[in-house]
Amino acid sequence: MQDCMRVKGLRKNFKGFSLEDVSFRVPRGCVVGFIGENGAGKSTTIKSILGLVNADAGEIEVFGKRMREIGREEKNRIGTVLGETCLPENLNLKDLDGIMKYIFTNWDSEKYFQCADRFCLPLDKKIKDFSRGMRQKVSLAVALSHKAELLILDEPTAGLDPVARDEIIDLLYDFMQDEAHSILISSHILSDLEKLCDYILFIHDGRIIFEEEKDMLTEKYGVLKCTEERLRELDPKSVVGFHRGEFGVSALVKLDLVPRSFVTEKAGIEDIMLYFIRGERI
Amino acid sequence: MKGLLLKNFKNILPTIAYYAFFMLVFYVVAILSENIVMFTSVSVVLAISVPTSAYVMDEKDNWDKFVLAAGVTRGQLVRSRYLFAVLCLIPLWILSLVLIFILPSGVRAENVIIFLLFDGVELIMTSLLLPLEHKYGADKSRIVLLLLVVIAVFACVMLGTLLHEKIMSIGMTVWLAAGVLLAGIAAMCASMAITVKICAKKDY
Repeated sequence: MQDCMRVKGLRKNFKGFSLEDVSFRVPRGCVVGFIGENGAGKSTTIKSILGLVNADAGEIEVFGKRMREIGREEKNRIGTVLGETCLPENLNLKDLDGIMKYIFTNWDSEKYFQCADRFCLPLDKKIKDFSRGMRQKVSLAVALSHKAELLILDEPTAGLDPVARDEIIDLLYDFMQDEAHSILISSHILSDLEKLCDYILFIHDGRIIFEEEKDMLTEKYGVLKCTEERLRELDPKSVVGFHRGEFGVSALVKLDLVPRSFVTEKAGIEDIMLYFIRGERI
Repeated sequence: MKGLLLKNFKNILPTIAYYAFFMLVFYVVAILSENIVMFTSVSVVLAISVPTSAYVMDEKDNWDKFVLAAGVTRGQLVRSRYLFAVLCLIPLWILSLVLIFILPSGVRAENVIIFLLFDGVELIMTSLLLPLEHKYGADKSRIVLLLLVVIAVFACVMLGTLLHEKIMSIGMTVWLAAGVLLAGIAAMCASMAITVKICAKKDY
């Protein structure tokens, strides 16, 4: 499968935090969910990809070209929603349309107003008077209205109620109806990602832990509930991490390394993330 | 560039309307008192306040992040801010020129000196302020902004004294004022280059 985006050996050092050798890919036609706790490096990675942060090392390729070599027209093929609303709050949606046609070479006013209509966004109200959910919807409407082929979304559903989140997920589904389209989306709301994503990219403490197909993750990992003594019978390599509970332990295990006599439950993305980050090691 | 400028003007329109009223009052005062300084000194404040307000709004809106992610280069973003600052100055200069011609005292060398001097000061102040705002943010630069206004007023008063006390001839003072204007133009060019460099290294 052709890659829409490829990141290789990305490094960025800040005081007290660094991205270490971040490498991953976003295959064309796929949705990659970017997960990790707060401060793990998701936003820094996204900002580095978009050129907002000057990376210390690494290569970023988008649409088969090095990011630093692509021009404005090609960069316009990337739609972005950054963590916070990044639009002029003193303006209304009509004003914004007048400005965006000069910012984006392929600006589609019709599509923009369709999105606004679908999200029930008032055209004459200033953005500063919008709720957080409405602002996120405006950002998404802009991202979807310049014929983008790749969406890079940093926490697009953060702080939204379930209805608003569902509307946004629906819109992303629609976007993915075109096979040439791809999405890299970071979110803390893992249930949203479970619905939408083909791949899961997990970052912890500035390092990529894994990039796996979502369906493979559930085949690869399981949750084992047993006593601590029984857990210790397992090969330590098979246990990612475990939590002690009142009645024993629960552990995230690698299913291919666990004997069949151990009964496991299905592991969700949230389980996987929690055991990787907070689980005790054998 | 057009989109960036358009956004600046639309975004700042309510603020500009407020400043325009303020300026109108001082324009009338300048006509009634036949003193061009009443208008030019206030225009110095306006010359730095409008670009600063625009920058503060951009900072609050995270606008830089959005446009840079959209493919606008850091250089284009900086150049648009300088162009916006100059576009805000031009109406003030035109108004000052008109004032020189409509005052009953007519076109006098003193007024030409004041016109050239204050235009130069406005350019110098803008060229000092914009790199600071890009480097340290609008909040931290506010103190510098106040300091700049005080220095500018002091410099203008000093020159006025030189002129009034006839320490310098009018001819020399015209040349000095023209020199300040040229220095302002040079400062703007140098400042823009510095700000582009600041932004190139900046993480947003």
